[in-house]
Amino acid sequence: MPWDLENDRPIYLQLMERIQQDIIKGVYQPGGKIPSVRELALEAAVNPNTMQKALSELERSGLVYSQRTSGRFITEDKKLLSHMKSELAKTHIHDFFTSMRQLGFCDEEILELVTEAIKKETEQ
Amino acid sequence: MLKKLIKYDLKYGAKIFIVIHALLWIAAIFGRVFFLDRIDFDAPTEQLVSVLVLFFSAFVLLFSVVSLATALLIAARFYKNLFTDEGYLTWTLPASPVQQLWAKILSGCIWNILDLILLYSATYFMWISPNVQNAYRMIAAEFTASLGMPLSKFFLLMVLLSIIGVGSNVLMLYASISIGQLFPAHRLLLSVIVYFIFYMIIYALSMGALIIFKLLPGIALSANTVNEAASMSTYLTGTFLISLVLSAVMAVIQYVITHLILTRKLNLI
Amino acid sequence: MNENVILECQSLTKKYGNFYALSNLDLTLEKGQIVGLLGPNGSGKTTLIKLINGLLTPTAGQVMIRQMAPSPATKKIVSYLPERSYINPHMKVQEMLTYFAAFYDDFSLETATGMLRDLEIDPSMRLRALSKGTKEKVQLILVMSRDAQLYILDEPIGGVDPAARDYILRMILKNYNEDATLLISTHLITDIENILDRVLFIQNGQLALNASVDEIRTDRGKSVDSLFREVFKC
Repeated sequence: MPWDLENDRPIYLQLMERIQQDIIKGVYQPGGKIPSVRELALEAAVNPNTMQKALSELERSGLVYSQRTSGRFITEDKKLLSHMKSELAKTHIHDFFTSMRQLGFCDEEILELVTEAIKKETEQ
Repeated sequence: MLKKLIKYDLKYGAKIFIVIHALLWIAAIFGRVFFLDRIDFDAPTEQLVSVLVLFFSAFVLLFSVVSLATALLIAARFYKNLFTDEGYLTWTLPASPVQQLWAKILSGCIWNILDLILLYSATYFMWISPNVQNAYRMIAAEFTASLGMPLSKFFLLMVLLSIIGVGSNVLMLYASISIGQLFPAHRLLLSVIVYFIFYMIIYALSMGALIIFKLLPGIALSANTVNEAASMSTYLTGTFLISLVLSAVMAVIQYVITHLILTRKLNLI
Repeated sequence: MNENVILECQSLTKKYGNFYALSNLDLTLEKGQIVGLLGPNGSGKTTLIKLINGLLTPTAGQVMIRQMAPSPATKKIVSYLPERSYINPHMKVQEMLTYFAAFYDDFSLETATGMLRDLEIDPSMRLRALSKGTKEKVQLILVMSRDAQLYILDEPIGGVDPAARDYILRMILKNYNEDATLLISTHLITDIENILDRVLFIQNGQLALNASVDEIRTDRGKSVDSLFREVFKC
């Protein structure tokens, strides 16, 4: 299945996010090998050059490292991985607050709604 | 490259070519076995002539149709392969326009020569019917005298002349089609018109040459009615030479035209 | 001269009567990219493609593939899929494979046979017996089974259904060598947007835009498709 990509943001950014998510979800293990650019590009149905760019960016952030002969691997640095996790959480929270504020809620109201929602979910 | 191109040109239409020429030969075999071998040449002249005329007309028609079909086959291959949608592949093969043109010329000549060989051999096959040979022996001397040469020599001359004409026939087809495609709206119509114009030019030139060299049968005969046979022979060899020169000149001109169009003016729609 | 340049057009012009199908087009493409050639009908896309393939002679200017004018040498390294069917309908699929193998040194019979198998196309069928979509697939297989330096695909996915479209895009991605350049002309932009590095917009025979897809998305915050609609608004 081609990956779901949005139309209005650079593709390589979306590919990076998707790979980060896959790491968190455990599709790729820390220290594990990730497929080649070509394989990933085929899976995502995107241009190999774009996939290459996404992986290079991930390499720059240290999340992925490459060994010249044997390919690319996920970092084993637990700290870096949990940092990435919290960074992603921050982004999601930020996005959430932005949309809630657009709906006209103030921060206290948002917090209240969230606690209420959590209560309901645990009750179920 | 040239070899491969020729191979595929020959492959195209091979079936049709074989079928029509097989039909021709079947007709020749039937004609000889059921007609020429059995006909009674001692029958009353009037009756004999009318039957023979009918038989010859049928075969002349058949031969013309077969020749025309061969020419159409050669023309169709050239047109379709170079100027229609198929041209998109032909012209993106790693071959130069000159190679493409020569492949078409050589394959066209091969088709044409095969056609002639089959036509003449069918004629010869019917001719050697013992019945016909016996009948001919009675008029052979008379015939040789009026032709100015033995019939066998005349026949060979005809074969030679038409084989030499093969190149120019093929080039005339190709030049006409190439000129026709310069007018995208009516490519086929113009090809046909150009062909007839070429035809008329050649006809006019050969008539002109015959008159200039005083070889026209009427003129020659009236000038020297005494030596009828000799003049007939001069006429034949003269015509032969003139045709040879004319078709060589026309072939060169037509080659240059086709070459220029294929290298400089190729525009697939 | 840059080693990386695969295609270069200099003030390329093609006139039909009084109509300029292309006028003074300048373009340089580097190797290793997938490039979308986009533009409304009649904008000059096909004319440009035919000029690159030497099927038309330019009225003025020139087109160079690796610094060579269209010639047998360039035809060896360019693999071209026209927008029409160029196969003699009396030939069998298998005969077409042999034909390509005979004329193109870079054609891989193995690749082609594999793709035919994947798409369940019987090589012993005659072309005329195939549906329009299948015929298109056969042509694309022939073209993509070459190891060329420049692939030019004119409307490669126009006539096939969406499922086959996905397969075809995968086939293009799979067989395209990373040093090669692929020029794809299409009006189905959304379908191929994700596989493009770069897009060219052609309008009235001139280049209206030449930008990378990520540039467009970063700078303008919109997809190539919406930009296209904006630029070519009727």
